Amino acid sequence: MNRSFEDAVPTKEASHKGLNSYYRIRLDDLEGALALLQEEGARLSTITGKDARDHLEVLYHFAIWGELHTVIVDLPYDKPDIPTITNHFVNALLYERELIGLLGINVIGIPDARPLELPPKYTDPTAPLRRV
Amino acid sequence: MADVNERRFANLKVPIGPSHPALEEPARFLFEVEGEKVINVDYEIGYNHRSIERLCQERPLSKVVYLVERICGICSHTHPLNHVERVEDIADIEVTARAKYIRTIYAELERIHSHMLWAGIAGHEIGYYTLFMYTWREREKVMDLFEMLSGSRIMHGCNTVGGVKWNVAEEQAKSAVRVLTYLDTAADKITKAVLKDSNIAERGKGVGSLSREDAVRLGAVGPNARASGVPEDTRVMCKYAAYGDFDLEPQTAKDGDVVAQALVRLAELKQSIWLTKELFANLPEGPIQVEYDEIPPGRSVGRTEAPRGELIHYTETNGTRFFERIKIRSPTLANIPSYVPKFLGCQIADIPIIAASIDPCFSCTDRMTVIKDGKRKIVSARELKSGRI
Repeated sequence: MNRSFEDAVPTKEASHKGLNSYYRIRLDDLEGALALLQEEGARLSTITGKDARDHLEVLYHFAIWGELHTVIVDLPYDKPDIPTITNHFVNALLYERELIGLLGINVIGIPDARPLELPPKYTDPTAPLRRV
Repeated sequence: MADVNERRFANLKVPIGPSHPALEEPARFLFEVEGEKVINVDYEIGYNHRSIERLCQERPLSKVVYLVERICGICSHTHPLNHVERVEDIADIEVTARAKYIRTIYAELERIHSHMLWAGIAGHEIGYYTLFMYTWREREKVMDLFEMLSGSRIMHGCNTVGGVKWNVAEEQAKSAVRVLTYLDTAADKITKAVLKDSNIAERGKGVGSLSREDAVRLGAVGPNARASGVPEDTRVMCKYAAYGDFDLEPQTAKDGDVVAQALVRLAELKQSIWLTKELFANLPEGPIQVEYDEIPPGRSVGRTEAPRGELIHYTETNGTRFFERIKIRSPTLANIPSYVPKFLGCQIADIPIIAASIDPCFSCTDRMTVIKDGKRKIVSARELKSGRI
């Protein structure tokens, strides 16, 4: 990256190892982080959702040539809402649909909210990758 | 062009899949057509769920390498390779040079047989059965090589945290180089058969095109992106395993159509044969495994170049016997959005070859959760063994 992520976006925690960088940010700063990454020509590689037992985590993995930059956002259990990033990265749709189906995360403003892998008849209220 | 995320259909709809003679992968496409012309497309995946990410969190650390090996029959080396590299990154384990070379040999042999398989499938989809028979006959020689090196054609069981399990004997290396020399000539013949054939040119030129802008915008990866002129190859960008020791050029084409896809894969076939011979010729001496202590808590995300493109594993450990989280994104999932511009405006008859052109593999794309009667079900090891799922 040409610009330092930590200088451009308020970061709660950052670590670097080899080609990988991890930044934990507040949900409010996500928009700024996405704008920066878009400016740097990053490609969204995938999104990981994780049940961290007391909260949920969404990890956005961005590739810039050989580097991988992971932006981590924490979500509370009682309000697992996160805005869609398809307005910045159109290929986020499939990964966000995965978050909806498998982790029960509410992606606000997503153009297609059908769970990606789950069948229409899936009725269990608990998302499959939640630690219940 | 309709927006890739728009799903409003007004005209006649033609469903293809999840079981269809023209699509030998468990995905469902819904095409909206005007006459013979496709004007919109929707896709649905998820017909092949096996709960692997969840199962990875419920198995002891040492068992997970066997599980990830079974994600995909074709990429049965690159999945465990990425997995063990993630664990080694977390635990700061430095693998020996010989182990890195052996891992790279398997990875390249996998690419050779996968690209040959693709060329055969492409021939099958356009009714060119001579090409199908010819490429698959040659592919068998790679499978025999795998059997010679690891004892198994598909599940090689090569990777382990700290190195590899199977060494390469001198006689095996000599014999492999002989086979690779033969395959080099065969690859030339396949390339000539594909690129000089007027029928292939007519069926593939300008069919299923993907512009460079769309490839970048839609996050396409691997040969699919390189066929549109995006020079991204994880082997070159990340230099994992032994790739840092060799000067590789990403193989690219311009048009992103079926012919460009063939051009890229055939060039990679030649490149991989050359690279594998180099790897055998320069195989360093030394042990193939290193010892390590416990795996500490940590996280690692990394990429390898599977035959179909960039494969990502995110691995998190928590200091216990179990993984905190393993997330896998296979290349086909990243390539699915690029189907939309490829299909729009095409003829119905071209659907099978366009669908096959990105070399889709849904066995590693659908890998999450077993659903039975609309209920979530976690599969026990006993049930998995007995086949009662």
